Amino acid sequence: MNVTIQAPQTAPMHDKTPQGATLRLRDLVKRFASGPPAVAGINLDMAADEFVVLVGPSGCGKSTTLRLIAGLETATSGDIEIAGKRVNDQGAAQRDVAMVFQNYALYPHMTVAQNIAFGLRRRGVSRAEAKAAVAEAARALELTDLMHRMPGDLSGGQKQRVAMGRAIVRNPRLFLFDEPLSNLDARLRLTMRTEIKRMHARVPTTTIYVTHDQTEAMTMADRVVVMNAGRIEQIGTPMEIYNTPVSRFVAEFIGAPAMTFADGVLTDTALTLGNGLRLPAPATPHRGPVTLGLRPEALRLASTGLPARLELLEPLGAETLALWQTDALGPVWVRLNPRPDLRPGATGCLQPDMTRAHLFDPQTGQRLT
Amino acid sequence: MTPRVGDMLTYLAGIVLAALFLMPLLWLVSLSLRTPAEVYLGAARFIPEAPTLDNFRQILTDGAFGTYLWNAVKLCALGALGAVIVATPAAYAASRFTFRGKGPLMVGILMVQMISPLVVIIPLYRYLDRLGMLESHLSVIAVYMAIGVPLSVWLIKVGFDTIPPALEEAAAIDGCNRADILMRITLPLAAPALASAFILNMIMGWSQFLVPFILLTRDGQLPIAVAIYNFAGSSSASTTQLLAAACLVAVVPALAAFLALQRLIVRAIMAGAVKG
Repeated sequence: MNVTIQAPQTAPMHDKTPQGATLRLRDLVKRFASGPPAVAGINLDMAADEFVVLVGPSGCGKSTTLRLIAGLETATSGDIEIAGKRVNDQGAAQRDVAMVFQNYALYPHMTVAQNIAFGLRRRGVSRAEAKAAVAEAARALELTDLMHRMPGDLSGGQKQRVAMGRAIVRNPRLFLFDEPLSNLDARLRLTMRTEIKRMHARVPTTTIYVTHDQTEAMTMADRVVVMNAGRIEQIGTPMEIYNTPVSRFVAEFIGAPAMTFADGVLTDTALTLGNGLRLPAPATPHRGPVTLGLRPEALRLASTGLPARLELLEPLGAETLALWQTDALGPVWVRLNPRPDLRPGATGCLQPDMTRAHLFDPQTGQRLT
Repeated sequence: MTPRVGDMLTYLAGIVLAALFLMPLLWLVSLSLRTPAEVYLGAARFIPEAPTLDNFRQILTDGAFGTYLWNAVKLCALGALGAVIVATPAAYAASRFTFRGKGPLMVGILMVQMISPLVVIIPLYRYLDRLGMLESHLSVIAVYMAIGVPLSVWLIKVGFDTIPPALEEAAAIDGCNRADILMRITLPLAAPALASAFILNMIMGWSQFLVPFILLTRDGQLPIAVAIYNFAGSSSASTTQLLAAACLVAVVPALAAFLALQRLIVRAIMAGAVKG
């Protein structure tokens, strides 16, 4: 299914004034009854109409952060400011945010039209105005033919669009997405990802998008917030996060296939890995034990280098990923051209490009510059 | 044992069980269709020679019988409604909030269900007497409510459990306060559980005998079950066929309600039993 979401006609398309509000989180903490805090003091400043993706493994506090912003959870301490105003004491109903839930959360006893109109009617919009706005949103999301259906009769993708319609129809100050694509099949997920981004370009609104999928994070965000154990590991543009991960955690989490790591000792002349292999020293003032990180594109096939044996090939069309087994680094992924003249079992040499190597402190996992 | 033999034994057990419950009912039907003369023929005339609906006509045109029937409907319906109204907030709290002692409290509520009214009827009588509430429908309704609340709390709680909290959160973000959410989202979605609790309470109230028998004595206030008992105690065998007809008329509403709504009831009881 190829769905094109058009922006509602009522929304000003080329207006320079921001639609959304700024968001500021100050030392935000959320502690549940037992265990360590789910959110352990995070700080974040979002510009109006910015698209920020919170990404991290399960249990890292990203969804809790979103729920705190929505007003579905109460912060243990810290401040949440929307448009410069502290909203900690306001309920979800007063914050003028819209949220798209992972399981869509459509009201099963209401038609599609009633679902979309519900929020407007609750906020005192007249029946006629609500009807017009709903019709507009339905047109934008190609839902017009489904307006009298019940949510139970809709496919996953249709439910997803109704959930989006319910959110956009209100012109909220903040758009919150809680893993909205995780229940869709791979193809639809890809389409909806593009459409959400396109929607944001046409009707900019401050948007916070939670996902555990690093590809979604990289492709959709203006800025990515990588979270780990209730804390923010790094905030940056997708390319900043990819090119200069501040910690081994971020380096491991962002990028597919994953970065390869190996411990070694850095001296003035060389980086010596555990098994005695010596590599040229990267340009850094640091000396002593380090963890070397190499992304798949930092290694290439060469006539000299690390001896390696090809274990398997993953042809992706535009390129092919190759998993090599090496003595020095263990298993490493390398990006190859689409049709490499290789078969599993083949041997060769891998040459690391040390200008693209990442170095981390073996103890703290922090990036070494 | 082959599955086929197992099936046959299951059916056999089913037939025996059904016969156990159906025989008295069929016997009642047989008696209610007989003339006074045939009543004395007992089992020999299981199928009456000249079936008559006269007994039903006599019962249904009797003004007092109508009053008894109405009393029963009123006591059951208000008792059931009251139980559901009282149980709903408790069930909501049990389903949605975590609080200290929730587990023991829920078990405690269920334990109340296991106390037979027989055990508490004497203190209850003295208690209501002291309050000056004897001879009043209100007291019977209150007792029906109390009897119905524990099961209703559990049944409705399970109903609430099946409603994803995300729906309530979506409604909160859409601008609803807690009362709005309950009225517009949660209760409409819990309708099957609420209806089942109401119907089960109706049926329990309908078959209730002891409570109205002890608490009510004035003839005009009696529900059908007590009235039939009084009638049986005061009449001779010559009115057996009338008694049978009256019993059938009294039993049929509960049976009809159960048969018509059994799917709903089973669904409500089974809700949460399997992963949805």
